[in-house]
This record gives sequence, C-alpha cells and structure tokens, in this order.
Amino acid sequence: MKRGFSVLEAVLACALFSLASLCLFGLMQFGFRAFSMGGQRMGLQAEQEAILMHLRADLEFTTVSSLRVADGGPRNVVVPLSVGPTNEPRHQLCCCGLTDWNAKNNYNPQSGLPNWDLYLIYQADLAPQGSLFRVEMGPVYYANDEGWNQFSSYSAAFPNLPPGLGANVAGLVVRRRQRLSSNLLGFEVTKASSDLVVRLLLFNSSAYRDPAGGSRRSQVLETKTRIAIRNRSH
Amino acid sequence: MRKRYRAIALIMTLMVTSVLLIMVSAFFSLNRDQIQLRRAGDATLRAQAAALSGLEYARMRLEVDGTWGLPGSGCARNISSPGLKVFENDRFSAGGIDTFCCVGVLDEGQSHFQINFVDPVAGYGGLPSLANGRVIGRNVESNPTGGLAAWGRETLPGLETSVNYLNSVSSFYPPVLSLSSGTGPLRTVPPKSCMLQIRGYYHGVVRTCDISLANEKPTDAGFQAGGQLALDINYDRGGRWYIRSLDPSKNKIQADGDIIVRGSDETDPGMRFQSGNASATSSGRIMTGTSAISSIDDPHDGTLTINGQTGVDVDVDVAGAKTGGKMRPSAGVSSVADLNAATVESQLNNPNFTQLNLSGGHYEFQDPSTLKLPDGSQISQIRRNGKIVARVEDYKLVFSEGVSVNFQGPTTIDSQGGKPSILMGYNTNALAESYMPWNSSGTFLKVTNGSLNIDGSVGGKGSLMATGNTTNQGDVIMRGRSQLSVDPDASVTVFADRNIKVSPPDPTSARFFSNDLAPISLAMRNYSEAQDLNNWSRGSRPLNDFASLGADQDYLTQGGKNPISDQQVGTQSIKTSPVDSNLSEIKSALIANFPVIDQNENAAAEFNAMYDKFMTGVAEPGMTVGRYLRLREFLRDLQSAQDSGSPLPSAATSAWGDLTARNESLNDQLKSEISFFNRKATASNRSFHNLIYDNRSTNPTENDLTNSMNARDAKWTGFLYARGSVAIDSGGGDLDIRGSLVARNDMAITNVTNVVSIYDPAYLKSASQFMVGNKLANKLWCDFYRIR
Repeated sequence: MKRGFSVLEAVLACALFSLASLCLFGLMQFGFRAFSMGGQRMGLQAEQEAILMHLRADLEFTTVSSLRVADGGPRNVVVPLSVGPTNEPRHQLCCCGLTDWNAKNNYNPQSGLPNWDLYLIYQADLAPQGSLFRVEMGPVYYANDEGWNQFSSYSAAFPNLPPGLGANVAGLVVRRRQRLSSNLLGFEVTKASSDLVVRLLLFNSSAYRDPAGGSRRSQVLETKTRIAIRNRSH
Repeated sequence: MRKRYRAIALIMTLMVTSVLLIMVSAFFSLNRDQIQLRRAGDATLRAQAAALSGLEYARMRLEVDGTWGLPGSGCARNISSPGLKVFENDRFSAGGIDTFCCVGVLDEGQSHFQINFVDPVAGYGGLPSLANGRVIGRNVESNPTGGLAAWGRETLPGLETSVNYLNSVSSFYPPVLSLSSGTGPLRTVPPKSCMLQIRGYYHGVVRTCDISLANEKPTDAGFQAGGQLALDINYDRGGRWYIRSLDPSKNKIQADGDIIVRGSDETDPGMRFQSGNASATSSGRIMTGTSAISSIDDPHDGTLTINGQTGVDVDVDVAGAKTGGKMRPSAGVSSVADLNAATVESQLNNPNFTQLNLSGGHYEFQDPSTLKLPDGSQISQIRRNGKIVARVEDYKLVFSEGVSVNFQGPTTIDSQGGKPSILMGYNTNALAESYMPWNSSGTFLKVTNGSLNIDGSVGGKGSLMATGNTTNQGDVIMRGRSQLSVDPDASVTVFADRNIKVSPPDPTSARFFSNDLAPISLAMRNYSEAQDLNNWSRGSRPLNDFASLGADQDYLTQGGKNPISDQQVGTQSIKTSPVDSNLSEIKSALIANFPVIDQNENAAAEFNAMYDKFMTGVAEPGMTVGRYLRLREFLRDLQSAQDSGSPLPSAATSAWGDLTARNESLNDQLKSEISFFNRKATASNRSFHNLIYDNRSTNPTENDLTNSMNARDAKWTGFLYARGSVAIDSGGGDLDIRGSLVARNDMAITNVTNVVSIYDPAYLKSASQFMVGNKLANKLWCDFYRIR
C-alpha cells in the first residue's frame, strides 16, 4: 500500500512539476526575449552614442566652409524591413581636421588658426545591411579650409565601401579606416545655416520575434540631431 | 541510505548557495564598475559644462565691455545670480605682475570655472608660467563662498593663460608666439581677438575650453554672392579688378555660383590679388569673360538675369599664377549669412536716437531749399524737441546726427531742378551751411515695407535699410554719385531686403576734392611755421592729432572759439593763412570739378569775378584757405543753378562773396576736411606732417590723394548687404569698395574701368552690434574652438 501510494504520489508530483516547469520556462523565455530585446536596443543606442560622439568631436571643431556632402538619388538605398521596404539615404560627409591639436606647428603663426592637415570622411555604404565608416585621409599640407576639392571625384570612385587602409586616392593616403556601425539603415546630412543636421537610423539586422510571440519585427533606432559647428573661422 | 541522501542535499544546498553568492558578488562588482565609469563620464561632462558656462559668461562680459579681462582695467565685479556667483579681481598679483582673475562658482560650489588673464602688452616673450597665478580648484569646492582672498593659490601654466587683444589697434606680429621652451600658448592671437583658456572644474576633473573670440563677421570675403558674380571691367583699356584684404589670413572673393570676370583668355581673368592668402572660390565655374554684359534683367524674384556675357573656364594653375591667387572652381563655399531685417534693425538702430516718422510716397524738391511732401505740404526743415532733425539745402535732404528716420511705405525722392541727394549724420545746430561733424553719431534711415528710390545719391554717415519682400519691395535704388560726400572714410551700412541698384556717379556732388589738399597744405605750412609748431607731435594741440582734438580744432583753424573773418590774411589761423604758390594750378583744378564753367560762359564770368575780388578787390587781397572754400562753394551754387535751370547766382550778391558772412560754417567745413586728410594720412601709416610736407602735396592735380579721391569714381565705404541681388553701373569710372559687398543672390558690376575691393573687417562691425540698455555691444563669435 505504501509503495503504490508512493508511485501515484510520484506521478502526480511529476505532473505537477512538469506543469510548473512549463510555466516557469515560458516565463523565462519571455524574460529572455525581453532581455534580448533590451540588450539589442541598448546595443543600438550604444552604437548610436558612439557614432554621435565621433561626429560631434570632429564636426564641432571643423570649419563651416570645409563641409561637403555627397547626396542625391544614387545615394539612396531600398532596405527590406518587416513592415515593408524603405528608401533610406546613405550620404557621405567630408570636412577638414587636424591630427594633433597640441602641436605648435599645426597653427598658422599669423592668424593663430589651425593648419588643417587631414580630411575626415563619414561614409555610409550602399548595402541593404549598411555600414558607416570614418576615414582619415592625409597627409594634407595646409589643407585649405574650403574643403577637399577632390571629394566629388572620391565619392564617384568609392560610392560604396571606402578604400582600404594605405590606399592612395588623389594624392592622399587612407591613414585610418574605422567601421563605426554595421547596423546602418540611413545616414542623412543636411546643412542648416552654419550648423549640420544629422539623421541617423540604425536597425537590428537579425529580425526577432517580439516577447509575446507575435510576428517577427525589425527594430529601428532613429536619431536626428543638430550639431553646432562652434569653430566659426571660415 | 537516508543519512547519505540528507548529506548530499546539504552539500548541494551549500554549493548552490555559494554559486549564488559568487554571482551576486560579481553582479555587484560589475555594477559598481559601471557606476564608477558612469560617474567619471558624468564628472567630465559637468566639468565641460562648467567650462562652457565660463565661455558664455566671458562672451557676455566682453560683448558689452571690450576691456573686460585687462589687468587694472577697473572692470572687475563680484556678481551673484541664481546658480552662479562670480568673483573677479583685476589686480590679482602673481609672479610680480597684476593679472585678472575670474572665478565663477556654479551650483553652490559643485563646479566652477576659472579664467586668468595677463596684460597683452606686458612685453613677455610668449606667456610664462606664473607662480601663485590661479586659485586651487579643491579650495573653491570646499569653500565656495570664500572668495579670491580665501582660496589657496597654485602656479598658472602659460598654456592656460588668457589674453584680451580685442582693443589692440596696432599690429602685434607675432603678438603672442610660443617660445621654443613651450611655455606660451600654442596659438598666435591676432589683434582684435581674445584668446580664452577657460578651466572647468567638477570634483577634481578638469576640462579646458581653448577659444578665440572675435567680432562676428557676416562675411570673410570682399565680394560674396550667393549666386552668380559677374564683373564687366574694361580690360582692353587696362582695367583690372584689384583685390585686397586687411585680414592677413584671408583675401577672398566668393560665389555660390559662377564667377565671370572680363579678361583676355583662360590664362587671365582680369583679377589681381594684392595681399596674401588669396583665392577666388566658386561652387560653380570660374570664367574669363570674353564679351560684355549687354543687359541685366530683374525677374522680380530677388535674382538677376545677366545677359550677353560669355566666357571660358580659367586655367586654374596659369590664371592662379597670373592673378596672384588660387582659382578654386567647384569648391565648397559657405552660404551667405541670411541677415533678416529685424535683426539688422536691432543692430543698426540706436533706441536713444530721436525718432522721425515720415509717410512714404513721392518727395520732390521744388527749389534748392524746399521739399514737397507726399501730402502736398512744403518744408524747408523739420524740428523735434527744439532741434533740427532734417533740413533741405541745395536739393539735399540733410538728416541730423542722432536721428532715426522711418519712411512708412515705398519712398521716392526726386527733384524738379537740381540733382537731389540724401545726407546723413549732419550737424544739429541751425547754421546756414550744414556739415558733418568729425565725430558724428550718424543717422539711421529706414523704409518700412517699400523701396527707397533716390534720383541721386546718398552720403554722410549712418545706416540705410529698406524692408519688404523679395518680389517688389525692399530695394535701395540710387542714381548718381552714391557714396560718402563729406567724409569718404565714414562708414555706411546699407541693407536691402531685396536688391541694391546703383547707377553711374555724379562727380559734381562730391563735397570736397583731392585738389583741396594743395591750398590746405600750403596754408598749414605757413601757419605752423609762423606759430612755431614745427614739431607737430608736441604741445597741447599737436597738428598730427588733428582729427581727435575735438573742440580744440577751433584754436588751430580759426585761432579761438569764435569765428574768424575771411577779411583777414594772416597766420593767426589756418583759415586765414595765405595760399601763396601754385595759384593758377589750384584755380584750374578746382574749376575742373564743376562742368558749369565750360557749359555756361556767364557762370565762368561770375566765378572769375569772385576770384578777382578776393585777389585784388578787398582790403587785404590774396588767397587764403577760407577764401578758397568760398570759391568752391560758390562754384557749387553755380553748378546747382545750371543743373536746375535756375538763375545763376551773382558774385556781387552771393553770401560767399561777403567775407564777414558764413565764417562759422566755413570753419566747420575746414575742420571736417582737415580731419579727413589727417585720417587719410594715418590710414596710410604716415604722420599728418609727412602728408602735408610731401613734395607732391602742393600739386593740386597729382598729389597723394588724387587716386583715392577721384570724384568721377564710385566709392563705398562700409558694409553693403542685399538679401536679393546687387547691380552697379559705374559709368565708365572706377569702383572702390572698402568693407564688403554681399548679395544673397547675384551680383553684377558693369561699365567699370578698375575695381578696387578692400575687405576691411572693421566696417563689418556695425552689422554685429546691438544695444544693451544704453550701451552699444559687439557680438562675438568663436574664431577657434576646442576642448581639451
């Protein structure tokens, strides 16, 4: 009697335990999905913060007149998202910069203004799963502060990916090439008086199912910010 | 068996508990690191924010008072406002010298900024480190209300020293150059700018703003067009476009469209850059014009349609070498600053000026001293509060200094007789002959919602604006000699909501001429030698400082406060000193300015009658400066009568022939003219003595002012800005623009021989000024900015 009762007891206990486990694992899966979504969002936000930090650091100190933007129709890309295809801009931006802000020789002895010695390029590629690159071109011997006059040629020659490290383009060498993001959806740059309006869209490339178990969705993080170019020397 | 199972359960429980403890510990550790990281980032941001607060505070102080920050300037203040408490000391002794220390405590001591200035003319070779030169950040943090005396000090590194050069006028080249020892700042600070090293502090974290502030400039180019820039110079007759800049770092013309300048071929676009760092920059093409502009159409959308001129693209390298500047076609150009009418008015209009509101409409001169208003009434002067604010004189509508004139609606000014003009910034007293005071505060003239159309010229000192829209209002249209009649060095700012159109100049409207230098220099030589003033730089009234002598000018020009009669000939004053050589040349050169003598024999006879009267028909015969001025003004009356078809004035009855009359106004004219010559000398880096005693000064046709004062040339001094386009017809003469000419759309200059454009940032100042209470402030911007 005692043994039979023990078996029934064990079966019931197992059934109850299985039910409880199912509930628990269901809850855990929900939690994991929510955590994963949060993690992905945090990842995108961190990526966005890092990109904007680079942009601010470079653009606040550059000159208004050196800004050049490659935009227009060919620089738009159709990207399939869960809600349908979207047409997004993938601009290229060029401005002048300085390798070493602390070097005495990097300043004009008459005006006290920087002798700009490199060009910085922010380049969005044209793949659906886009990337954003930051490229340093140099050395430029006292770059004029009106921008790189070969930028339109550069943009035509490298519409998609930037040239590799060490490549020579119109007499300048690619000295640094960083991939800032590989989750780029759109990169739009618009001049607004002496400021620059940047619209940045990052998206989660691996489509995911929402925690409630619904259909797969794409996550898009859109940021639009105005960067004041504080260094007003023309 | 039971015992074994229990033991396993205990061990497993202990193991799980241990794992959980380790996990919790790791979690807290990770969390603590993240918090610390976040806190460090937060501290950096707060330190940076404190430095930026310091920047805004310094900018606010410097905009209102350009001497702020100079040691011993007396402008140190302790200021308290919500969230900010500022402690300043302009005699903060460090390393044996006085410095200026400013500490701003934010958020009751959580963060602060500190700025330390040294005297820019203390004669340092660079900026050395100063012992006890700044307060210690931690001391401020621990005792935020203590003040500069209570806080401890530490060494101020040269690299973190600020310098205010905003008021420097002479060149400091290189003003503050780093020494090889590396103690000085890394950057040169040119005159008219202020280098700030603002140290932001928060909980031990320091961020420093490295800034150069300078007057905000609406443009950095001598000519800037937001569209096409076309110059039809007379290249075949030797005409060129001479481009200079007083900014040593830039000499630039710029267009956000094509640049086309008449020249020979692709190697020579007719431009000549005459100072360093020169460039012609265009977002489109740069072309040499090979044919003339046939016509210019106004499609009423703020642009111009320039017809007839064709060109070829310049050879960038060859043309660059030929012109002395870089040719930059297809280059990036900064957009033309969009100055809106409300902002410009707030900068140009002085609220302390006397307001004079006039209706828009048709204003017409009936005779030399009568103006018919749109309502049909006729006036000869307008008074406000007992003072003359406007008068009509010799077909000129003369506005007094310190007056803000507002025409409500489209305004046209023309004449039934002589050539009309508007003069601004003139005297407020009721003398018969008006004049522009040497220190005139100028006039502000505005046409609200309409165009200003003058069938003549604009001159004097002040600002002129027309507001409206881009289609049919807001033009400034001037015919005739649209330049500064009395003092060509005074600046005028012209703002048009739409277009600026200028027609060929009228030589006769010039108030004085380069040939006046000959009689004035002869008289001044006689006067100074007789008065033993050969050392022009000494005494209480040195002639070398004539322009700035103020009321003391009277002692030199008329020998005292009271007007001296032109009946006298003698060296007791400049006005009565004899002009005793080159008389026939002086007479011929004077006559050459007034075509009436060739046009009308009677006029020539009247002029000769007056000349002979002065030379032989008076008690003390002979030529003096005062009498020379009388002849000039009589000629002007003759010309005016001829132009208007009025009866010619007679030498016998003209007030200019009465040597006892109008001496006060003649003296004022003389002071104005000598002041101008004095400034001309200073502008060319020479003393006034040097100009007057120059061998060529007694030659009326070929002296040092001949080229710069040719009455047939159009001259603008100041800042001309059109929100639409600019079209100038120079009538075959030269065009001289000192300051800057800016159009948001197109710019076309036609029928011109030579163009001389001198970019002078000093004349852009009026566009960046604004009132703070009763005080004029200058807007500053960052010429250089970085945070380290």
